[in-house]
Amino acid sequence: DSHVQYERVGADVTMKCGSMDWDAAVTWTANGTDIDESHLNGSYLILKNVGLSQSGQYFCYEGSSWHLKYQTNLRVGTPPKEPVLMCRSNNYPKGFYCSWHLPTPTYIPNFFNISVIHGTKDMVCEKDSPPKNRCHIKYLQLFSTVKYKVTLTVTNALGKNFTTLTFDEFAIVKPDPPESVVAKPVPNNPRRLEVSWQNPSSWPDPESFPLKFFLRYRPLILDQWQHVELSDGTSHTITDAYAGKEYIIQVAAKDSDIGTWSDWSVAVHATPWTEEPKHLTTEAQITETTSVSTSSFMAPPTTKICDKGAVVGS
Amino acid sequence: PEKPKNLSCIVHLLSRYTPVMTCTWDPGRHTFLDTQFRLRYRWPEELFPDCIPKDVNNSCTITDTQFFVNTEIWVEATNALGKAESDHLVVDPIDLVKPVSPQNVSVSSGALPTGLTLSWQNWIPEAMMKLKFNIRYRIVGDTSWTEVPSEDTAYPRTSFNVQGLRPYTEYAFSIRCMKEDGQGYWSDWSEEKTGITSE
Amino acid sequence: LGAGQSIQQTYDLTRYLEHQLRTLAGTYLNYLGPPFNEPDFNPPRMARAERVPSATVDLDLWRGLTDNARLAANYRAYSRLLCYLRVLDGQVGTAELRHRLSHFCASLQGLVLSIGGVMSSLGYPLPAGPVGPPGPPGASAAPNDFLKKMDDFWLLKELQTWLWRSAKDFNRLKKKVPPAVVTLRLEARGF
Repeated sequence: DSHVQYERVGADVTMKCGSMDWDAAVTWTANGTDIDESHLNGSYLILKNVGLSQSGQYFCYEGSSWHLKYQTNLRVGTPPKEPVLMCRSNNYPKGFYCSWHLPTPTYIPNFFNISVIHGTKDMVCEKDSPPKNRCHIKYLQLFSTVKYKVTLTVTNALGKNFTTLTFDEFAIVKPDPPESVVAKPVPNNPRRLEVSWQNPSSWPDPESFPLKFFLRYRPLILDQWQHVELSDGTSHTITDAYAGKEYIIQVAAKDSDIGTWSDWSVAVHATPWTEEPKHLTTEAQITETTSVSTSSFMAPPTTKICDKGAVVGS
Repeated sequence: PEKPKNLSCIVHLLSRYTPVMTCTWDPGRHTFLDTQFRLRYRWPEELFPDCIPKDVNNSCTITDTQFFVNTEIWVEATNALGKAESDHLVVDPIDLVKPVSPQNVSVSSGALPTGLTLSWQNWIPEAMMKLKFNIRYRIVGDTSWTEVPSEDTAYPRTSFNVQGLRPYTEYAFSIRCMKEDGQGYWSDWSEEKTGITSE
Repeated sequence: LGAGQSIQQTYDLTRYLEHQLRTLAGTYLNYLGPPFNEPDFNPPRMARAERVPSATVDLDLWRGLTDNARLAANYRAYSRLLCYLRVLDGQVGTAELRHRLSHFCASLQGLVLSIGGVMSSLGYPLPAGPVGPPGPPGASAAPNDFLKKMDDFWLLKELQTWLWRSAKDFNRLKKKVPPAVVTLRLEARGF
């Protein structure tokens, strides 16, 4: 006979050769390779402290006739640890989704069951198609003070585990990041950058549930971000950008009253407008070329820069 | 008594949630009689206890002021010969606030030798009031200030890169704030903080 | 004040109250002490606490509310919540907390007034009938201190939730009656 046999990592496994007696002459193979006699006790196959690598197809043949007497698919794995469950509403007030994963693989098939209870009401959690470990719950009511309780149970052949989350409706509201972030220089304004973005497309009703935004920006050469919080609108003009410096800019979103901030948007880069160098006569160009390579604010070539007494313009 | 004139009020925040409103007025000429002044204020359906001036006859401080509700405010003067009432002021006290100046001001070096970054904390929560700012700076030792164009600091923020400075020079900075829509009063200027531009 | 301005003012007051309540509720729950100040505290809601007006509403129903019904629901809720909160205010032991609660109660009363003002400016009658809680709040007072604290816990939680709902309610109204509309009308009358 043939079937799947699940064993825990580290277990000692004994396989009988079907109906064959203990003292019958047999041959065992694993994944087509003969197994050494040292693993046999009579016709029984003894596998000590099995490891993941010992998963596979095991066959037992009667010694002389090579009749197949026993076949099993050994699956070595572990029982599930407590699953990691996360629930979030990125499309408030339509509903929320829960997603989960196991902290460590089990190497054998696992089966998940999720229950969502709101007060005394059982709510349906529409599962995504595998392999996505996610399901979606529709809000039937809004502005509830009753907490939601989500219990996720995971089962496999070697064991079972579960985790429970209890939360308020408002605590899990977290939009997706803003989309289509664009940053542009402002002509004739060496210290301004115009930034615009759009509400995340997953946010269904920005009219009734307006988002506020957090903008952060910094020149690439600095680590320190500057922040601006904007409670309406989807654009902003940065007015203190360092002239000529390339900037990195990101935006985050939050419902204007409840929940938490989204992750930061994709970063965009922009450099403020800078004046075009003027068209000079040939002689002037030669002089210009020799001085451009030094810093924009430079002392006359004859003055030693570190000579404090002669700092230009003091 | 004469009709009290020039009634005006200003709101200060003693703590984050304790706005007090001080109103002042011109009591008019001396009446040579014992004249009582009362500052009165009400909502359409709620008359609040009168504010009785102490030791003065031209100002009173209301200790529990409410924002975002239009409040009718007036002064009443009474003596043996009669009573007079000032014009009534109808205003939302949120539009009379003189904010606390920006706190924890600090100066750090910028991305250019001609720039410094000014950072601060706003003491007033955004849910109460959005702020705009004025920033001024001068070379330490100079007396004249330069102000950052107000349109550049006309929205809520907590830092600003001041540019166009002279390298390797010590500058003093000061900042003040006001309600973003221009209602109310400018805060006092913050304490000065200095920073040196890099070489 | 035109309808648009008073709706905006009411919206601002709602957000200001919500902001105040966030710190005030934390302070009050600390005053009540464990387990009431523990983040995951999730007590059952007793019958008395059920009398506090619930902000919970069917999503489609909420979306379809007329302006009048939306405002009336807010008016009735805060009128009753204010009464309960005043009972709370009278029993608090510390001066600082009592001051902040009474300031908050006055603000909440301002909200009831503002909502009434918006309704009048839109030509809606104020909700008829008893606006306060059924029977004096203390009528069926909690039999013991722990249950009293549970009632307070649910009152603050419901109030916080109402303020979130109202912010959305007034935001919807704000979009339907923007202040600008009113200004035009005023200018048309030669103001």
